[in-house]
Amino acid sequence: MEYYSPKSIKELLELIDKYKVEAAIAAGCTDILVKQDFFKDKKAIIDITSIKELKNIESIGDKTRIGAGITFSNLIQSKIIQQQHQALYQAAKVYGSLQIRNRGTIAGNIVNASPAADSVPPLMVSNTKLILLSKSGEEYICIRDFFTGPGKTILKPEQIVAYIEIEKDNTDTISFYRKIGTRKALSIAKASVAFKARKNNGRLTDVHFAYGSVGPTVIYSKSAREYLEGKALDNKIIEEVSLKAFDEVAPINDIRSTAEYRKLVVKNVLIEELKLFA
Amino acid sequence: MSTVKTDKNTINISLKINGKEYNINVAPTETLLNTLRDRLHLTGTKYGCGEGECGACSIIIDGELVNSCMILSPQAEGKEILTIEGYENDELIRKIQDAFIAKGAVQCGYCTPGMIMAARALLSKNHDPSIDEIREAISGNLCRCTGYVKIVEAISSINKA
Amino acid sequence: MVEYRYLGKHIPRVDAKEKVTGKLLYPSDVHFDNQIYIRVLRTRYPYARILSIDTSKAENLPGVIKVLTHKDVPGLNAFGIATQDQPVFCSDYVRYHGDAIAAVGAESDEIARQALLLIDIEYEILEPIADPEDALKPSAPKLHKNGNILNEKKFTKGNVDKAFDESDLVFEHTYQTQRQAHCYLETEAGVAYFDEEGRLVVHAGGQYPHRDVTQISRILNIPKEKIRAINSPVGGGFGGKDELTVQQYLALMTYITKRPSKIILDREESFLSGGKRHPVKITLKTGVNNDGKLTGIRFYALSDTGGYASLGGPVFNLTVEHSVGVYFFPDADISGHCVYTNSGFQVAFRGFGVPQSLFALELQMDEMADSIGIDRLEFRKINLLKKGQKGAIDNEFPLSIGSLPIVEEIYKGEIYKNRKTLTKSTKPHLKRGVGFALGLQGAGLGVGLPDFAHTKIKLIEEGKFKLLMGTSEMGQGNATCFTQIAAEELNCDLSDTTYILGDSGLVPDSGSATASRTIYAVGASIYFAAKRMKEAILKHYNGTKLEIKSGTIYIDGQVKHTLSELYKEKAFETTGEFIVPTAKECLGDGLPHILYGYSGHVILLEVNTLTGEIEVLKAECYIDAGRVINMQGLQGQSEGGLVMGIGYALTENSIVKNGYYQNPRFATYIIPTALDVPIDISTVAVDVYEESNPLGSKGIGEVVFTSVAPAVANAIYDAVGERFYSLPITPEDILLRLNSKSKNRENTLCPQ
Repeated sequence: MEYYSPKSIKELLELIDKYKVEAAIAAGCTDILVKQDFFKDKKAIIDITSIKELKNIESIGDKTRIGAGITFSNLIQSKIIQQQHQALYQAAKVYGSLQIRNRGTIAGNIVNASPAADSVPPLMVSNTKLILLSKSGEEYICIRDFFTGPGKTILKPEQIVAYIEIEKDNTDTISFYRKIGTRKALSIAKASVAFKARKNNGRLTDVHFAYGSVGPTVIYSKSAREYLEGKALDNKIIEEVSLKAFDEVAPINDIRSTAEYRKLVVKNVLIEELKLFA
Repeated sequence: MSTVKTDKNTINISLKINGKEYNINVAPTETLLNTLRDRLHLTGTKYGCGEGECGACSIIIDGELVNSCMILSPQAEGKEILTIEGYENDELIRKIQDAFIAKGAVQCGYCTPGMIMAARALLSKNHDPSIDEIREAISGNLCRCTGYVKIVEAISSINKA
Repeated sequence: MVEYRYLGKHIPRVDAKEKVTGKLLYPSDVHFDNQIYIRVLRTRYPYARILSIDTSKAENLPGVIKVLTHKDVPGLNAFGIATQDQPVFCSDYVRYHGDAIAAVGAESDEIARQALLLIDIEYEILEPIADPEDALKPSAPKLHKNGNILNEKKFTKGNVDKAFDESDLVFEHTYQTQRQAHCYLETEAGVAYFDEEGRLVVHAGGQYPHRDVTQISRILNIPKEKIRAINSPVGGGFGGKDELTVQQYLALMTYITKRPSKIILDREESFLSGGKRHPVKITLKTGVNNDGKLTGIRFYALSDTGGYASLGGPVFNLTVEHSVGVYFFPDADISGHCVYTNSGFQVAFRGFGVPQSLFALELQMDEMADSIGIDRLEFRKINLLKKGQKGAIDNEFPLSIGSLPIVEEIYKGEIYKNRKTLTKSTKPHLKRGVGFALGLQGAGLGVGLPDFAHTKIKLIEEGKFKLLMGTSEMGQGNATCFTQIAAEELNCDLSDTTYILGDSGLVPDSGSATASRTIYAVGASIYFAAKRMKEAILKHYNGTKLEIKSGTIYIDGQVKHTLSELYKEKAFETTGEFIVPTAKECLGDGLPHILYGYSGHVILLEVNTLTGEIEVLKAECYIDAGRVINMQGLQGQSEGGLVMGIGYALTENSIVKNGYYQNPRFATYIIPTALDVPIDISTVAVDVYEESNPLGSKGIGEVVFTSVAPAVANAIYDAVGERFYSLPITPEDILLRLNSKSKNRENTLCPQ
């Protein structure tokens, strides 16, 4: 087993191209070290934490570009995230524990492709694009098209997720991220909901919902968002949109919770949270 | 626990732990927890789960609290590593230790070094944390004996009066 | 009133310094340069017949020193505290998911792990007995040669059917408690080696070194004198390290290879192989009259010990014995079975069978009080068992009873007094409730089992009194209490003492660190040893009053010698003995107790009716400890017991599905973090003096836990008006129940 700690993206892409599926990309290691036999068929560990280019949070017009090496603690400490990415900020705060937030990276959370990933629902409601790099070039992909199943993505072996480009909140943006976890810290979501919309004269536009832990991947809402688009929040509308959410999630029973609970709690959390904006 | 005695397939690294340099050969997959405990016999850092779920192996790297079971040892090269054994040259750790003793924050003591490191990480950034900030700061560290109350009291008592 | 120097005070722990510095070596920290690394092969099947075991490939792996199987056990290939039915290594059948078949000793842990993969086992997979009800069916396979019933009990008092007929109201429900994991932060670990005297030393986390010696001696078939067990310090035990856990592998490996050996279980292996709290299904029928008087009780419990007995028999005895809680029922019919299944393996756990009974009873007490319209606390008070009345199994209560003082203190407590205002919530979907429960816990091993504590005090060259106790220190704080007791009696500074605990080669047999007995029994024993030491020193100087300050002896106010000088003059060594008093008549192994500790728990919590999430906001713990030795230690135990009880009530569940463990990790077995528990916890030690103990004290290590879960469950009812009869009570349970109720009411999916 070889160990590399490239200092630049260029070096990194050379290495990934060389080892492809036999490369173990290591950043915070908070997911890979939990997986038994993760290193079994690997020939090289490529530690990306020394690449300075991947450790920035940059403001680019109405978007923010987050480097793959940014940890959850970096997100929480960032003024840009605090002020212009409320849902993501809330998600970062309830992710794992302090120790995990200090190590775990946002790109790692994305490529791990867990349906319970805390960062993904807020990214999905913010028109996020992932910038994938390989030796042969770069590719932009909408995060909503990135996941194909639990632990599965469209990422090719010679590619990495280098940057995450996320749309900023506007002054009229309303949003939340709410996680129903197994407990208050060190918790994995039983269900989670991210919401973002613009509210003008009481009416909501640019509405987005995403749900975590209620399907094989994080689910980006169709019917609930279409229903709410252009409407004003009142008790009846909230009730109705929450029922749409209830219908569009597809959870399973597992060790953390039941399908029935997950459906109900998504609906109820929407009621509880949306009433705050009514 | 994983100790690798094989010479093949190791890499040479140097780690700066509690101000002291250690030059060692490790397998690239070896975690810092194993290096500390099995190779360097710095056993104040405890094994509790090996997957970041209990905080017993918490240490401080470049001022940040981390689980040493979640870091590959080569990743810690060139960084300042602080473990419980570093207390003799760290006044803040000693203050926390005294508070833990005085307030009865120790029972079986197995989570204690990790808890103290969590408190050290908090207090080095926040001189006078609120009770809720303390609870948050130690919430990645499981304790099965104390019910946390006296640990929170101990941390809260530091820098007061 | 006597003014004490140490007793009853907040005294910091004597072992705290070496714990906070990380210097204390736990069993998992001890290392030998030439140690053999042990890994254990555990079965993936809950029930299977072993057709063959082939270790040859593993043995041929370079770096493997020894592969142990049942063939390598020179003596009894079995262990168990009460019943030796658990194989060290399975030879014919595996009986639970995690049962041990072989152990590899290798030059590195890596090699040992690799070697495990090379051991070939051929099995005939059998259909597991997953459910205790199935274990009782005549068609069920017999898991052990005497069948599937480990313990069966039946006690009757009066005529309960007649009592029910004549009662104004009768209630009956079935309750189910779950399998709880101990979750000590240090997994089962240790080392073995030979000491200078040629004894095999097994140093591992345990709770009774002298009994480890007995069990190892049976396994190795060598005399006990050749074995030394060291059990202290331990990174948490709670009953889960009372049974052998890794000692058997260490002992065999070092005995056979003559090299030091070491083992640390991975957390997952600890979850799989380790024993748990017994799940118990209880059917409880109780009668009550409109005047609030209880009339009769019928109690049937079905307890699941899993694949092996360990202490399942005695644990079940306490389930039965404590079925009536702290109350008096004129007529009773108490019965049940503890059976073997292929669902895990259950052992001792803080509370020892009692929390299960109290969960059922204390919920039903609330329901009865509500139905007849009496205040829930008042209802408890008028039914408290008093001295002279008899318990569930016609047992007597001749010693101190703390339940009435506890009830009186609860009345005065803030939560009870202000319950109306405290339960007002800020939002319509957040509902608050208050719950109570009272508990008790038999102290000591009970009648028929030898229950003694020997201790010793020696004056040593360094000029200190060295206290020698067999007990192990798992975090309970007993070393501190023993030091306080000795220093109080010797009138010396705490620094004039030192101690050794839990090393069978160096200390006398003090009995096990279980059954809430160490402060009561070992504390009394060390008191007598100290008293004798004081008398011996006074006799030596022919004085009447002893005081020692920083190692200097004052007799009747006059400076005499330093302790070091006295050591040179004469050897001083005294012993203390204490035998735990028991009932005259034995009603079954260990049954009954005559001494009980008491508790009361009061909980204020809030339920989010939209998510089912529960937050415990405030808790009051009322503890009868007899006379308190160390207030800080008592609070620490009380707070820790409460939080473990909250976990038991709300999140903890070691799930076994058709014999297979489902959540053997900290990520999926959910214990509370600092954010999940209230910080507002008060502990009140009620004023009770226990005459049978020279210090007036009783143990509290278990009673701090036993009544927590029902108090939480009762508070949930108080908040949302729904009773939940199974533990844990999860957000899923609450939300689905509320939803189905509101569906019936409004024909909509939305709760209010």
